[in-house]
Amino acid sequence: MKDNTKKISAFQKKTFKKYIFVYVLMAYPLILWIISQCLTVSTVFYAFRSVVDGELKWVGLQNFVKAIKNLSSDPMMSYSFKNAMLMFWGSMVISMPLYMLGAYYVYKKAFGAKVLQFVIMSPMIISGMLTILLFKRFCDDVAPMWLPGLTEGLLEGRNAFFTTWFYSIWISFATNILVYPNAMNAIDPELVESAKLDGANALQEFWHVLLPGIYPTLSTFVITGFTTLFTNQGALFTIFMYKAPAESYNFGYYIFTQVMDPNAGPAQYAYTSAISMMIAAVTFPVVMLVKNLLENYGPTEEDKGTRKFRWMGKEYANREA
Amino acid sequence: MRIEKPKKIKKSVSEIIIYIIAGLFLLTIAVSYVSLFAWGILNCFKSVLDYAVDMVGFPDKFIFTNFSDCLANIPLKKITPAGEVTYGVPLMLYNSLVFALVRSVLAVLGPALVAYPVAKYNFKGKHLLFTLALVDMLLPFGPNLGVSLSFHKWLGTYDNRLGNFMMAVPAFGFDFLLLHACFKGISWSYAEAATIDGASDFKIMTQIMFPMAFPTFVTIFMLKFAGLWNDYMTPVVWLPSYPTLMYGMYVFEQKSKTLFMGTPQVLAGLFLTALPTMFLYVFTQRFLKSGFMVGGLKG
Repeated sequence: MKDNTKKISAFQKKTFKKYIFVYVLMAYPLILWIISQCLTVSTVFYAFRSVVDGELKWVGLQNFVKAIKNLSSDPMMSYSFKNAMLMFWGSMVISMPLYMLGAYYVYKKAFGAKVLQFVIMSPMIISGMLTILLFKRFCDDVAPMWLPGLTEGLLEGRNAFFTTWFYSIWISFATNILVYPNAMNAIDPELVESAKLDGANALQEFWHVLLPGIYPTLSTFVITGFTTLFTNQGALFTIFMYKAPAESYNFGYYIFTQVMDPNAGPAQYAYTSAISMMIAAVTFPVVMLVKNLLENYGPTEEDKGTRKFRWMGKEYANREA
Repeated sequence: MRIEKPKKIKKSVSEIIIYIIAGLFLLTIAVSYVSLFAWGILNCFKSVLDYAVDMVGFPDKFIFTNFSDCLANIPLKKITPAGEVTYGVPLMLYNSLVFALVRSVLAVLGPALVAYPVAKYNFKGKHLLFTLALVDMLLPFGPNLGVSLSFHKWLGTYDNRLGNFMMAVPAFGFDFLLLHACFKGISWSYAEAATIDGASDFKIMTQIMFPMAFPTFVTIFMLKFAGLWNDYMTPVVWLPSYPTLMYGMYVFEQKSKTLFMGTPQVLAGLFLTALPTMFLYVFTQRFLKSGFMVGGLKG
């Protein structure tokens, strides 16, 4: 009679070794991630505490009430909310179509596309710091000469917000000129060729073939854009350090300056924790809603073998299928 | 045998119009970037008076002393409990290199060590980990900066280079998705063949799977390196005693007003400190262009 016990033990030993290998491999990064999540939970508890008589004590919703009151009374907070909404929606409405336009040109390898891509990518790599500081010097020194009608400088008062907003959009092409054309290059060329042979014009090709193809990349950026809706600092700290005009504030910068103030202590940490929690409470459901909408109304790959997919209620298939 | 040439598809009028509009738009962006850098470079060679008279034109006379004048002011001086410490350009360059190199390697290794088993092995918690990775990216909430600072000061990793590096090994993020997709795309038959030859899981990972994923590793590394090289916020917040070149550049620009330095000297200093990154870009831009793509968040 064969001894099956030994065979089972060998198999179990092999499986056990695999498990050890897998869990040991992931252990260190996951432990650090768990620590980070514990700090996040700690942030939640911090938000309900404040310094009372020199000690950190439970104060209930006091920090939240203070933050809500400051939304109307503190110009930095009220501008933070307005500017965050303007920055985000303006960027989505203005920037996204322009990214697609530029990406299409590069993807099609049109005249000079390689050279244009090389040049446009350069600020991302050469030095982001250098670009911002050059921009700042240009706005401070040269712009007043060219725009004598301005009552305030480009980096003063309310103008500071629009200037930094313009800068964020303008410099974002440096990254996106790399990402979207690469995503388009990953689309099966046979799909594009098939559309062309069927008589699709450029717009139809873009809408029915390219856009569904780069949809995962696009939706990733839209979703992560929503997650940073209220936390994006933009270029404020680089241009102004701690002295940005109140009219240009956003929540990310506001929280940063509150915490990094040399006199900041547990009271400021607790207050900014409350603001972070409020931001998360608003942003999380929005992010989940956006994700669901993008998934439900985006193209679905019906059958990978025939490369069929559904987009805006219509079904498309590869010509050969 | 007659070989037919492929039928050339004529461009429609709408396509030509779109190409023209897109081309002009990209040209405008490119020209604006080049103009800003050209303005900066040209003004490095002007005297303060020449700059005051004409801020946008060519220099009347090319002056090179701006570069030597600003060299004395680029070094960063900090008051510490031990006294005044001066960080010269070589030391700031060293700090930048160490910071960017080590953290880039960790930024690749951390997600790779999690993405590889999740992509290639079946184990308890595999799907949970992938879900956590997605949730982690979607949650607009992380530890508050103040809370993190308190924790790291308590732990002793604040303003401690080794401590900072040890705590900077991410598990999830964009790179996890990229690497997960990359490992999923590598056939397991290579590993099966190696297993038959007696290779261990560790050997399969290090000698077969990771080398095959190397192009993705390089792409992530280059992008992280470029980002970390330009990052001055992290050293400002977490490693104030290890200022990098970008931080030095930033402080140099800020203090130029108090030193009554003219814009030409400031610009000369900025370009001097940006030189290493310019060389880096010229030699690595083709790595960046190939194969960088962001995956979707479905799941």
